[in-house]
Amino acid sequence: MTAPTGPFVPGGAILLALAILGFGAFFWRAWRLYRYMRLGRDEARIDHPWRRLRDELVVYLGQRKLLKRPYYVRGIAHAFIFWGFLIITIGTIDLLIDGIVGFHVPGIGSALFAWTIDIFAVLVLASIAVAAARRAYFPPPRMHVARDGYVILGLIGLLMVTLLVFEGAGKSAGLLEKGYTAPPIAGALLGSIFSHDAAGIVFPVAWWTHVVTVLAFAAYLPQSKHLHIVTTLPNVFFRKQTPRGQLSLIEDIENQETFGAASLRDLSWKQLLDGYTCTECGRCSDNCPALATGKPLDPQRIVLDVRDQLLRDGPKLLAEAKGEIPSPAHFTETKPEELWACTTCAACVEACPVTIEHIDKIVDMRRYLALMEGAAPPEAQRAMTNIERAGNPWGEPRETRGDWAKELGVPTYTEKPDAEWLYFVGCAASVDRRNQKVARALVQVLRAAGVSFAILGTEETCNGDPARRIGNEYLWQVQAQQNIETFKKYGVRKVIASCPHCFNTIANEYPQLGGSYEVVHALQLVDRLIAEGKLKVGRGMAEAVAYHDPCYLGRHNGVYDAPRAVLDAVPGVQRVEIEPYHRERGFCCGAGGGRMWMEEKVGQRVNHRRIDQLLATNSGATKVASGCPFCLIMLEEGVGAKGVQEQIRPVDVLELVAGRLES
Amino acid sequence: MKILIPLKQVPDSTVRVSVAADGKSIKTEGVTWSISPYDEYAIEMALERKDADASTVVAVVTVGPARSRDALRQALAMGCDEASLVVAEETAAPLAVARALAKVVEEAKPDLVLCGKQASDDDQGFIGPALAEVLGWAHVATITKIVPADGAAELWREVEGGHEVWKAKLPALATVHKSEKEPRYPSLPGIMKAKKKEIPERAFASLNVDSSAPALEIVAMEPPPARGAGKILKDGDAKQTAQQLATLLRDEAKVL
Amino acid sequence: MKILVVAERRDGGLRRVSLELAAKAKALGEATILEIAGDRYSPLPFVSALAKKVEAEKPDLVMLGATLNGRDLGARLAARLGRAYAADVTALAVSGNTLEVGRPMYAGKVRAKVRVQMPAVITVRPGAIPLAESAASPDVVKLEADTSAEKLEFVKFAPVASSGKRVSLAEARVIVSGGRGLKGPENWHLVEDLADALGGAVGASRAVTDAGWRPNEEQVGQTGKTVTPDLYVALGISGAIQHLAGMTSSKVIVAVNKDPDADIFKVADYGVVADVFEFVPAFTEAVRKARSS
Repeated sequence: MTAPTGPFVPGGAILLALAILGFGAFFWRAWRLYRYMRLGRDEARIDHPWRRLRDELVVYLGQRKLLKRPYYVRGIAHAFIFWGFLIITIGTIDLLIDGIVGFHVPGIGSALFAWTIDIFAVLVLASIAVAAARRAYFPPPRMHVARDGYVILGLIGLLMVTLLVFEGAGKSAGLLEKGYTAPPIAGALLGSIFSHDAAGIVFPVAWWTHVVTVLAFAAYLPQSKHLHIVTTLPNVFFRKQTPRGQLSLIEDIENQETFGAASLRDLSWKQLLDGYTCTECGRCSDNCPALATGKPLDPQRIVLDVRDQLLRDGPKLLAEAKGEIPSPAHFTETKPEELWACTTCAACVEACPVTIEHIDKIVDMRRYLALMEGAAPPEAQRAMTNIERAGNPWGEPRETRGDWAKELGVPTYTEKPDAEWLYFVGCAASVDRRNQKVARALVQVLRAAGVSFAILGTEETCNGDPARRIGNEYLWQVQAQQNIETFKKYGVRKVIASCPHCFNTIANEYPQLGGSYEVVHALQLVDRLIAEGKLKVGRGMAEAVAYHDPCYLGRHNGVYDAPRAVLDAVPGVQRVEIEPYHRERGFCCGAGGGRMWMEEKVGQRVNHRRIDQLLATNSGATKVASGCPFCLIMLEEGVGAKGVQEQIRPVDVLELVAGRLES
Repeated sequence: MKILIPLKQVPDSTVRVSVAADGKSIKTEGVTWSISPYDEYAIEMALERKDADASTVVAVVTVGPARSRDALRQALAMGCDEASLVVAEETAAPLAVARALAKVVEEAKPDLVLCGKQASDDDQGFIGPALAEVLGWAHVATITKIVPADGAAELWREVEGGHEVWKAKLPALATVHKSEKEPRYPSLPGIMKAKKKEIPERAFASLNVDSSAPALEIVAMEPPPARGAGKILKDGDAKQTAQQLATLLRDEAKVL
Repeated sequence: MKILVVAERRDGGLRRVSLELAAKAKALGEATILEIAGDRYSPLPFVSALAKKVEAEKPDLVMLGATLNGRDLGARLAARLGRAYAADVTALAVSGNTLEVGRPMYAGKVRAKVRVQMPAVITVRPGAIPLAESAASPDVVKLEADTSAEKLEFVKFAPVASSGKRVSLAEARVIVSGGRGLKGPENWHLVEDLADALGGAVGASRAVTDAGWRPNEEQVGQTGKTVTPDLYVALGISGAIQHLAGMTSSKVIVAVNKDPDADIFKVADYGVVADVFEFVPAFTEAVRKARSS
C-alpha cells in the first residue's frame, strides 16, 4: 500500500492536520472520561498480573466470553468484526505513519499481511451484514437497538469498502508501492473494474475517504457505546481476580463513617469503568431470573444508569472540590425494589462478554440501604435480627442447632477433638426438617466411607452469607469472626459444607478475615470418595434424575462436574439436563442473595419458573436433584405450587447416594 | 414532644428458656438478652413519631441489673436520643420499680410515657398501669397508634372489632400492643454511635423510693409439658375421628 | 375468706370467665360478684369506684378475668391499693392465709408456681377454671363507675373495615390456617367455618397468599406474622420451614393433612391424616357440639 503523496508535501501536512484533529478529539474526550472515572473511590486491581495478561489474551483477543451458548452466531460475527478491525487498524496505522513521515511498519508488505487484511475485510463486511440484518429484522428482546449501532456498523463498513476499493483501484492504476504484495482479494475482485484512468481518480478518493473515516471514527468512538472497543482492554485487565463468590471487604468497619454506594463517588473507579465498557448487548438482562419473571430489576439498566449519570453529572462533580459539597448524584434511577430483587445468582456476570461485575454494584448499593438507612425490606430485617439473636435466619432457638444429630450419635468437636473434617452443617440443615434429612444422608455417606468428622453443634452459628448479600456487611463480619474463633479453638483445618452458601463464604470469604481452610462441598468430597473406591454405591431402582445447578456451586465456584459425576456413579440413575438451562446457564431457584427470607410478590415466582423449565424438557425425570438446601426448599415449594409433587420429587444428590449405599 | 419509654431486658424470644437447677428460676448461662418485644414496639412507635416530627425527643430508661445496659444501647442504636440506667436487683418489688420510674419521669418531664403492654419475662403487665397510678396520670392500655393533637394525643386502642380512640391531655401514659411497622433494624452508624454514647447510671437506692411493697415469691418453675410425639389419628371414619379430636382438645388439651 | 369477683358482660350476658370466677370464689369462701356499670371501660372511673368498694369491704382476694380490660383494671387497682398482684393465673389454691397460683411466664415457655401475699388482686385466664354444666347464674351487685375521676375523653369507635367480626391474628387465642391442600379460594369457607366454631382468627400459608387466594395480612410464617395462640389448627399445610417459623410457639398445634409424611405432623400435638374436605366439616360440627355442651 502507499499514500498518494510523499512525506511533508502538502498532502502529508493535511494528513497530519486531520490526524491531529481526529486523535485530538479522541484523547480530549478520553481524558474527560478518565477524569470522571477517577471520581470513583480507589480500589486496588493489580493482584495476579499474569492472570490478568492471560485474560487479555483469552477474553479480549480471544473473544472467549462472546462465544457462548446460545450466542454462537452473533458471537462469531462479532469476533470477525473485532479481529478484522484490529488487523485493519495495523494497516491504518501504517498508512498514517507512512503518509506523514514516510515510514512503514515492518512486515506490512508481506504476502501474509496482504492476505490477512483482505480476508478479514471481506469477513467483516459479511459479519456487518449479519449484524445489521439482526438489528433491523431480529432485534434481540433485551438489546438496545439504537442509531448509534447503525452509525458504527456503517463506519466500519465504509472502512472496509474504501479499503478494498482503494486497494483494487490502486492495483489497476499501478499506484501501489513496489516490493509490496498486491492486494489478493481486492485486486482480483475490483482490480479489473476500473479502467486505468478511472482508477487513477478512484484511488485517491477512496484512500482519503478511508483515512478520513478512520479519523472520524476515532473522534466519534468515545461519544458512543463503541468505546467498549477501547475500554474492554482495561476492563478485562482490571477485572476481579478474587473468586467470583467473594464480595469486597469493608475493612476496619467499626471506624468507618459511611458505607456502601449512595452516589457515584461511592462506587469504585472500576465500577464506573464498567459503565463505559457496557456494549448494551443485553446478555445480562437476557439471563436474569428476576427480570425473566417480571421483577423490576434489569441488570443492564443498573450498569447503564451508572454510566448515564456519570456522563451527565461528571462535569458538575469535577467542578466541585472533592468532599466539600455532598454529591448530588444519588441513584435516583436505581430504585430499591430493583436492588432487592437480585438473587446474586451471577447469571449476568457469567453472560457479560466484557467482564462487567453487576453483583458487586448491587450489593454496594444494598450496603448503603442496609447499613446507612436501615432500609432493608422488613422480612429481610427479621432474618437479620434472627441471625443476630438466634444464629439462624429462621429464628429457631439457638439451643436446638445440634438436635438433628443427637439420635445419630454424631460427635461434636468437644467429643471428638481429633476429627479430620469439620462438617459445617449450616442453618437450613440444622433447623429445617426437610434438610435435616440431607444432613442425615451425608452422615450415613461419610460413615460408610470411613471419613473422620465432627460437628460444632450449638457452637456453630450462621456463616453470615444472607446478611452479607442483603448488604449487612457488619453482621456478616460478626458471624464470620465468631465461627473463625470457634474453628481456631478446635484447630479446624478441613471443612465439609453441604450448603453451597456455607461452602462459598467459608472457602472464598473467610480468608478475608484471616480464616483459611481446605473447604469442600459435600458432593465434591463424595465424588472423590467414589473415585478413590472408598465409597461403594449399589444398584437401586432405575430412574431419570434431572440435575439443577445451584448458583453458588456452579456459576460462583465452577463446580459443575462433581455433582454430575456423583449422579452418574449411582447405578440406575439416568442423569438428564434441564435443557437449555443448565451448567453456566443454570436458572436460579430464587433463594440467593437473602431472597429466601423476602416476599416475592411481583411477577411469577422464580422457583415456579424453574419448575416450568423442568417440566418443559419432557425428560421423564421423576426426581430433580440438587446440592443446595435453599434450592431444595424452593424446588419443594415449586412442585407443590404446580401440583406436580406426585410426578417429580425434589431431592439432594446426597439422598440418592445414601439410599443406595452398599453396606 | 418528649417521649420516655421504660424498657426491660428479657431473654430473646428465640431463646429456649429452661429451668435452672434451683427449680425456681431460669438458666441464664448463654442466654441472648434483648429488649422485651412490646417495649420494642413502644420504641418503634415513638421513633415513628420522631420520623414525622424531627423535634421529638425519645428517651429510654430501665430499672434492672447492669446487663440491661446492652438493651439501652440497642434502643439508642435504633434511634433513641437518650438512655439512663437505674441499677437494681432483679428481685425488686414491682411496685417499688414503678415508684422508681415515677421519680425518673418527674425528673425527665416527658409529655408521653410509653410502656410495652407487658414484659415477656414475668408477663405481668403491671408496670405500665402502676406507673400511671404512682404518677396520678391517666393511661390508655394496649394502644396501636398515636395521633398528636395540640397539647393532647389521640390514642388508638385495639379492641374486639376495631379501635377505641381516646383523647388524653398530656402528659399521659399508654401501654403499647403493637406499632404500625415492625421495630426497625438499626443502621450501622446508629450502632456505632450508640456504642460510644455515655449512659448515665445510678443506684436504685439513690432514688430514695419507698421499697416496701408486696412481693410475689416464685416457689417453683417447670417447663410446660414437653411437646412429645403428637397423637396421630388416622384410618378412621371422618365423623368418629372428628369427634375423637374434639374430645381430646376439650378434655386433654383444654383449649376448647 | 372474703372474695370479690369483678364480672364482665358481653352481648348482654355475663362472660364465661366471670361465671368461672364466680364458681371458684363460692368454692373458696364468701363471694361477692360485682359488675361495674359504665358506658365503656375506662381505667380511672373503674378503678376509682372499685378501689372505694374494696377499701370498704376489705376482701382478701379480688379476682378479675384476664381479659383485655380485666388485666388493665387489675394492675392499676393493685397499684392503687398496694396489694400483691398476679396476672393471667391458670391455677389457684388457698391454704390458710397464703394463696398459691400457677401462671405462665416467659411467653408461656415456663409454668411458675407463685406464692402471693394476701390481700391480693389476681386476674384469671379464661377457661382455666372448670365450670360445672349446672352452674347457676350468680347474683351480681352493680357498682357505678366513678365518672368524676375520668381524665380521658372518648372520641370514637373505629371499626375494623375488612375482617368483620373475627379477631385479628395477632390477638387471637385460636387460629385456623389453610394451606394449598384447600385447593382454591372457593373452599375457604371450610377454614372460616371452623374458625367461627372455635371463635378464632383465620390465617393462611405463604403458598396461599402468594397464589392470591387470601390477602397478605393473613399470612402466618417467616415472611408473614409470627403467632403464638393457645390453639393453632393447620389445614392442608405441609409445614415448610417458612410456615413453621411463624407458628411453632403455639401452645397446642393440630394438623390435618392427607400426606402422613408431611413435616407439619412433626410439630403437631394432634395430627389427623385425612382429606380436609371430608374431615373438616365433620370436625367443625363436633367442635360446635363440644363447645355448646
